[in-house]
Amino acid sequence: MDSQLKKGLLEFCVLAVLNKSDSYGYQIIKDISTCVEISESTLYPILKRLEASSYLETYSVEHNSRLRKYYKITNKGKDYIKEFLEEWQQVMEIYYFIKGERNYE
Amino acid sequence: MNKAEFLNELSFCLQNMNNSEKNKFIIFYDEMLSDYVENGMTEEDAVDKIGDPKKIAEELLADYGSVKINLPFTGIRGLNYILTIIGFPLWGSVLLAFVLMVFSVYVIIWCVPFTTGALSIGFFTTSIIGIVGSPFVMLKNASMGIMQLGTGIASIGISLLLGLATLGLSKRLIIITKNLNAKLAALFKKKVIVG
Repeated sequence: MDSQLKKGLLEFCVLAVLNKSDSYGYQIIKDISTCVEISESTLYPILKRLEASSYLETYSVEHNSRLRKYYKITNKGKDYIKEFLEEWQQVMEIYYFIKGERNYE
Repeated sequence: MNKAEFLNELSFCLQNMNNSEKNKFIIFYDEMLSDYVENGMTEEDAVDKIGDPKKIAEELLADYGSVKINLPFTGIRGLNYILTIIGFPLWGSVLLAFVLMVFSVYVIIWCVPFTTGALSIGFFTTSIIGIVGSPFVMLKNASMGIMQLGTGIASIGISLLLGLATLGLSKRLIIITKNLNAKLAALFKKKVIVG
């Protein structure tokens, strides 16, 4: 898949995972990997970007005497998913346009 | 490669990044590797799975677009130039000291082959004069003349040895000087993208 497109979509995959429950790096990769391949070095910039745009927040929890960073979706993040899903209709139109099945009125 | 080695190398590859960003990144990978190990992988396997630290660092730096270094900037280009010029007594003298220090290092290094070279020439001159002059001395005093001839021949030998030493040292020093120059030049050639 085109890497720019994939990166964009992965952002929503991460948010979707967090929408179910707060999670941490390893678990996020595991969850997303059931749908699309994602590596650690891909995930990190995505998390960073989402945090910078305050679509998610972080907090640390002690686990086996080390700190584990948890990510939590914000309301802004939830809205962002909604927007994306609503925009999908438009994306499908573009899809058909590219495929050449769209009728011109 | 174990976890500590991996993190060390990653940290080394990211040395141009600012510290707090780098630490966050290292902590992220540290946690990731610990989680893999906790879920039954060996450290080596986990590191293998995550990949080559050099590549990861490259990807990360590429994603950043650039290494951001904040240069002091007043916001007015003209003022910046003026300040640079006014500040010349300060940075100028530091630069001059640095240049002179580098120069003196070169002088000290090159003193050694210079000395051997000069000695070589000196001994060579001695030998020529000694050998050419020895027959005349022999006429007066045979034993002294023979001694002078011997000294002259010995001087040729010493001169040749010193000459060889000079050549050998010079060759090495040329390489050292070149390397040093390249390193000094690299100091000023670091890629900087103003952020």
